[in-house]
Amino acid sequence: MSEMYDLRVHIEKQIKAKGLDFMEVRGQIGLRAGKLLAFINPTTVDEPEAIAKLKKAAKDVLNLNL
Amino acid sequence: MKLNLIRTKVLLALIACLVIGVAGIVALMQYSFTRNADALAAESVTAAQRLFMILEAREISKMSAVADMLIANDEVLDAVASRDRPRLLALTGPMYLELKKQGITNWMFHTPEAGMPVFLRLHNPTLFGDQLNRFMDKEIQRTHAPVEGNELARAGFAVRVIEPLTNAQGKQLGYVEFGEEIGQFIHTMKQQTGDDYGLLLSKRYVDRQFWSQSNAILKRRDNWNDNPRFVVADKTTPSDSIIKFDGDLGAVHAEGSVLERFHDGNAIFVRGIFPLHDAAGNSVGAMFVVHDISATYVAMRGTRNILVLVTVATLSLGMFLVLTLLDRLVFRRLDRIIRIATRVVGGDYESNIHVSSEDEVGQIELLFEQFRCVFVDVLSHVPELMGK
Repeated sequence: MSEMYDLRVHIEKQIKAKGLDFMEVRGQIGLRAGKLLAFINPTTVDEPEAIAKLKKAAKDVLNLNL
Repeated sequence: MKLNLIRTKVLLALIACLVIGVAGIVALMQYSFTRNADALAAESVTAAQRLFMILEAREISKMSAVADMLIANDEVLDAVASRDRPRLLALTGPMYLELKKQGITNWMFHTPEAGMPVFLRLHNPTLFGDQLNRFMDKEIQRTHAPVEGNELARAGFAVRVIEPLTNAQGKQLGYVEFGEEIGQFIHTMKQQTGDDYGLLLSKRYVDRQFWSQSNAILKRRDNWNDNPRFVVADKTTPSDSIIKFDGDLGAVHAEGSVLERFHDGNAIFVRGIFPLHDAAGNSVGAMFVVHDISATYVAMRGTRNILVLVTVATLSLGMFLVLTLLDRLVFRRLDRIIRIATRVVGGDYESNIHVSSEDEVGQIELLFEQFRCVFVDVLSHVPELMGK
């Protein structure tokens, strides 16, 4: 399992838990991170830069500290 | 409020326009209001001066008519020619009582000799034989033609008419003079206009002794020492505020001038002054006028306030309409494009952008929709690409 995938799963859970528009919020995070979250899977290669961007996007949009 | 948004910038620009527009309109209205108020004040003084001149002309006309009637009266001419003072008094005394009711307070007959001594004073029959040596007396002796105008005399400042008396053969018998105190004018003017007036005379043209005698005759307080430059001949109000003046009466503008605009309770008044000239052309005094301009002033102020309110309301409505129009035609549609694009990135490949118009934003909607279709198509082929 990759860290990128773990982050994706955690972010998606948080979106659902907060009752937000799933597609829109996931899209906002994806645009900020420069990634399509739907394309992140357990085999996705962990790149430190991509992980940092995803964490920052989650913090900006959801105020989520990962 | 984010300052980098077009919506914010447009809003700020519109607010700036509103503020500048309202400030401009208010300033313009205030300028116009002030000018109109000044014109109204000036017109009040001009109207008072005009009324004074009309009254003056009317009285001169009246006294000239009486003089003409007298010249045609053979009995009167005979009494003058024969220097029969008792008969002249008997003939004219009853007429004088009637004329006095009409405002003619002075009536004199003069003999034709140099200095034209007074032969009979109808308003003071026991006093005669004196020489007045006034400008108008000298003028009629020089021209032998009727003379009219204002002149100061023992009994005060009066509008006078002097006409020569001649018999059928053209022999000079003497002169007849009528006079009406200008002080009376201001009361007539007050009756007609409701305004208050004050009549001042420059001390330069008033003899101190004459003034005391005049006040004694008219049973008035001797007010000579009240002011260093002028004396108050008469006024229509007990208040002295009407005659407050520090300037030189001789320097008052010929067309009159507004001295001040002031409030008294809810009423607004204009105080002005116009000069009075004697028959010799000297600026011997001035007339003060206090005119109530409340009705017109309040109406003007009301109009100004309504115009300002209408302007503010119109500009505010215009601002609201522009913002609403921008919101509907641009901002909401841009928000929708952003939301759909974001959702597509989030995985919603079903939402599409509805092209609502062919305007500029509609072209962006169309472009984004076409781009979305291409994007979704690319995504749908990704597994195949990856498989390859």
